[in-house]
Amino acid sequence: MMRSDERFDEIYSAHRDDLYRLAVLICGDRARSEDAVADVFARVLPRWRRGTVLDHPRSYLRRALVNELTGGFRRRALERRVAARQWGDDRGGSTMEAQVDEHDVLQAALLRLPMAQRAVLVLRFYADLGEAETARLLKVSPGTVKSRTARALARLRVLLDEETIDA
Amino acid sequence: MPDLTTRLREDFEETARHLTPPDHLDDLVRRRRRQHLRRRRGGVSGGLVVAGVAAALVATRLLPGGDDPSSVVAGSSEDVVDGAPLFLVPDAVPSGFELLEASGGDLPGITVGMATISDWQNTQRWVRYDEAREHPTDILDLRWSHVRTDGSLAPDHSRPVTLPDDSVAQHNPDDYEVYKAFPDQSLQVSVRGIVAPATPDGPTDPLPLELMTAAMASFEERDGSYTLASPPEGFELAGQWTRGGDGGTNGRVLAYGDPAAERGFQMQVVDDSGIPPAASLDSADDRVVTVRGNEALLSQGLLAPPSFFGEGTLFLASADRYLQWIEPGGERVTITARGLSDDEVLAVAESLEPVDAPTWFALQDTPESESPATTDTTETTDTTDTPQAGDASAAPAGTEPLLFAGTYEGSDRYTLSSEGPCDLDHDDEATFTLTDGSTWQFQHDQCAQVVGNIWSATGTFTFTLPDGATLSGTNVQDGVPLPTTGAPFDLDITDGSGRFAGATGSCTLDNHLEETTLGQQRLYGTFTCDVTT
Repeated sequence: MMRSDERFDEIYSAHRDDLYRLAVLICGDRARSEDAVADVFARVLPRWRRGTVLDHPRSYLRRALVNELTGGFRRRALERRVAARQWGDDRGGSTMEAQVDEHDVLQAALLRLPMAQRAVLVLRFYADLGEAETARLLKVSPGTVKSRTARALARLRVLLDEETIDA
Repeated sequence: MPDLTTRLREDFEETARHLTPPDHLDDLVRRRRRQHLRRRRGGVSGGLVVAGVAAALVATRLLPGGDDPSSVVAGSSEDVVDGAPLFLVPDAVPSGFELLEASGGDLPGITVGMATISDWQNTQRWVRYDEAREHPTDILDLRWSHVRTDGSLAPDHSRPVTLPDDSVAQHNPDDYEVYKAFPDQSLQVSVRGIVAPATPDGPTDPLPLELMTAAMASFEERDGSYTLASPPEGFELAGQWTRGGDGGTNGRVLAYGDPAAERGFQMQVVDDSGIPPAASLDSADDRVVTVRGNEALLSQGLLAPPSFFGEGTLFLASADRYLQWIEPGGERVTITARGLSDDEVLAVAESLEPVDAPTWFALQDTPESESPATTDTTETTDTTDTPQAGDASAAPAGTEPLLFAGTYEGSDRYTLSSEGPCDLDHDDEATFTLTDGSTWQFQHDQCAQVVGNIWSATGTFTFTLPDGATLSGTNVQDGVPLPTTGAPFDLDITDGSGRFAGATGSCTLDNHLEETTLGQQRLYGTFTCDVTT
């Protein structure tokens, strides 16, 4: 069954902002988030036309985004390292680290967490997903979500203490 | 002071409130959609980038497809072809070969294989061949990325160079690259030209600077993508890919070999691959041949070789010949061979015939007794004790440990960790193939620390079985000297779900690693697990 692109455009309009915000919160980089959102909609369109994306586009798109970030982000993090060595900078990537003054101490501490831990916090406490749904999005077990959340919060507390002492 | 989770909720909400997608995001999405649809049809269409007669030639070469470029229109639904997968079976195999493996074809849309790593979002490879048009002599990569740029991002050691159109670019002699930024378009472009080295690891020389600057001057936007309006004389477009190209979907695998497991081949067919043969066309040792009317690459190595080696075919992991091409329907076919001559590989390829789905899946039902090379090579487990994954009737009961064994194959991606407790973040994904032929999907995250040259890590893992049941737990690895080609380690199973709810046990992996590219390793080996519910 082929589906119309017009309906897909509606879905894009409805979910673009949500996906973009989720991406920035998870990866901490606006340019990379734009990349990720664009890639997700590009990849999903053919599947939408074939009817593969069913009744819950929000959930499907979020999962695709998380996949893109957790796969793509790792690659791109590495690319940035390589690029930084080659070029002495990160080729224009506007990172949130560079804009840390825009954020409070908590944001700064969040940015010091590994991406996997940040993702679980964003999904649990921004997207307000339960452990089961978060596990499904991250393709890990609910137990892993639970332990990863606990580790992330513990690490965050340590980092916040450090920030407070430094301040 | 609110508790931490409340603070997080409030802070995320506040941050998100100020995050508005930039105006150019819609345009970026449109571009990506067009690029992706074009890639699904098999990379950029030749006619879109090369005019006239040259277009017709290019479209039948290492570029996939041969599509009518006029049909590749963004937003059109005509360029998505539904239908049954292409199943190919060889009509002739070398004497003495037996069927070792037949699998796949039942997972449309599911990605297989690994992605390529590139600094650039898009790469277009232009190639000049020798007189016989059999081996590449010169390679020119046009690469571009849409990122914010202030125009001053060239490396410190680069120097300004004036292009034929009097604009100024940067020349980076160390990377054989001319670089130009277009800040108003958030666009960075590179032209990198080399004389094809004799072998992939051979010494590399740059192409003349004049050639690269002329190419850069002809860089232009066309139909939502970019290309060289006037490629240097003799160069043909060989292929185009994006940096996140994956290994394709719905893999179909056949493998044949001799009983001694010394000579054999595996054929993999995938849909929608983002990594065309041209991505592996990188040395004068590579050979361009014709297979089934399609231009194909015969090479000693591929950028991202298939990783479908099951039990009985693991010896093909040390393959010495690869043949890869794109079928007219866009399917990418890869033959991975060990111990075969070029002529034997080509003969197998030419003998391929399409078969219908029932014929294909009947191959997978071949009784083990009729396929000697698929007999159990793992001595640690009696396969009669192995429950059939996905078979609810095989749900374990009681306290006797269930034993599982087999082989696994996958990838380990690692990245430098910034500021967190880990020096390296490892992200492993692998397919575990049990002796009964069933497969488990393995996901494994590790936080590694490196002290001196000693690597240590803690991690969590999950096996997902075909019926959705899971086994999960933790692992610790200590004191692995770097560099390493892998050291055996154990997984502690602490929990499970479905028919393995509450399971405990352990697995031992012999753990072989091969660096495939920076930040990515192939992982493979054999494993045993004992599981108690």
